[in-house]
Amino acid sequence: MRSVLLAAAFAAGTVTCSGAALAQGSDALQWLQRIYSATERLSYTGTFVYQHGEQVETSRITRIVDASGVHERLETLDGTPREIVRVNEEVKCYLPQTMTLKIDRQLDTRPFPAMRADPRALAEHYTIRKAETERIAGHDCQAIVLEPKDKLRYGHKLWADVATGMLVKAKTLNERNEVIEQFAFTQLQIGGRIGKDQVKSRFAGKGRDWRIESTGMVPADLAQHGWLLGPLPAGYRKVTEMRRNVGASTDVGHIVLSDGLAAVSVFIEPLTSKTPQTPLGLSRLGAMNLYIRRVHEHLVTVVGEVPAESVRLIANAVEHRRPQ
Amino acid sequence: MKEQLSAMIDDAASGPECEGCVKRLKSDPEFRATWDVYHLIGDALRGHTGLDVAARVRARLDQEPTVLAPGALRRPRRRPAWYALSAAASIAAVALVGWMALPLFDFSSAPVPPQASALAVEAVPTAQGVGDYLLAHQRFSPSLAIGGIAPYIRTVAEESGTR
Repeated sequence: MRSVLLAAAFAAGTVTCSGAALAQGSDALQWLQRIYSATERLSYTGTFVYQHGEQVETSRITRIVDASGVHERLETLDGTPREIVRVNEEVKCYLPQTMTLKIDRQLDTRPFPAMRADPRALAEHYTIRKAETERIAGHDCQAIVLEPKDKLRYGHKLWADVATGMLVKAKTLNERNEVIEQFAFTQLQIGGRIGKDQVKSRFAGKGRDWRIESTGMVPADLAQHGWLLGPLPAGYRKVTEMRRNVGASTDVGHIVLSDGLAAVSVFIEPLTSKTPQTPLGLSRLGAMNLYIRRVHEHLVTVVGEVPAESVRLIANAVEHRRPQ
Repeated sequence: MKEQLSAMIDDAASGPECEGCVKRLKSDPEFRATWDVYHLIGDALRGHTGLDVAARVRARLDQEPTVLAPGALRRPRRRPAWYALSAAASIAAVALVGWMALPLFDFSSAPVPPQASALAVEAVPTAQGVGDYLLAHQRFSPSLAIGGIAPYIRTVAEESGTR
């Protein structure tokens, strides 16, 4: 009788434990949902630092959501001024040093699929849990940890404002738990009065002599032209594909893959005399890894904030077959 | 003016520029706030966000005995006070020096070679001339999901970094 009782108690204990872990996980998922909805619906203005490797940069971001839609402006405060202004689906990148204005706009009116992380799909590839609470830039924040279940993606730690869900700090960690990039607000005002002039570019009227580069994105089916993706690393699936301009290269095929959090882009362009002479193989920039190879007289460039192994596997999955 | 302030913090400002900054620091509260923020940023980056230099200096000064009768006892009483003040000031100085030692804030210079970073164990070369690809990619990158343009911070940082 005693042993039965013990066994029952033990079983009950086990159930409670895993139940608690489950509840903890779903609580963390709810926090992620909160972060995503907060970053979409809130108006805010603040100064943040972005760090990757040994480099650090301070920027100011302002976002206003009103009846006319979303207005955002991001301005670097260090070094040469650079500015990005977004009005709904149109993103303009002002680079005064080279007097270049890059315009990112859809030519087609069909919207791109939402490129937002899907918290439920995330749980398949990341262990998500709540961590400590901490005060950052004057806001009480809840930390959320996303630990990858394999070596094909990076880990993340996010800090969200307890009151609003706004993301106040984020870190990306590699497999050795080293920080490879992070951003943190040092000052942040959520809601309240934010002047419309804060989301207007200070270069807007001066752009007459500037070189304008448009991305000219149009949806495309690259498989029709023989471009296929073989088996992909676990969890990554195709999200969208298009034809577009990339810098001076026109008619570049662009496939976007994602595991629900991290994104990887595959660019495919014909090799011409104008193709930039970039070294083949693996290279890195901050949290971004790149893998470049040649396939069927084309240059294939794979870019993503994922481990080197993932960009390599994805690059090697690109193949060309003569269209039927 | 903010550029001059930044230059002064980086020890790269000329004499007249410094003078102008100091004058304005005295008269302009907003400018002083910017100065504070620049230093706060430095602290934040070094993970010292909890370190409130001003508060610590105040705390050190509060611990000092108040000199009630400085006349006759001036010499012996003053010395410890001076030392304590110096120690408190040195905390602020360390913060300032640490800030100036940060090899930062000029992305127009060449990118840091990979061997300088802790991540360079596998000796992967630093990507060059790929700014256009990064910019093209960032629109679709959901991972740093602060607003719609925040993922571009990587690109904008890179844009001048590879030049």
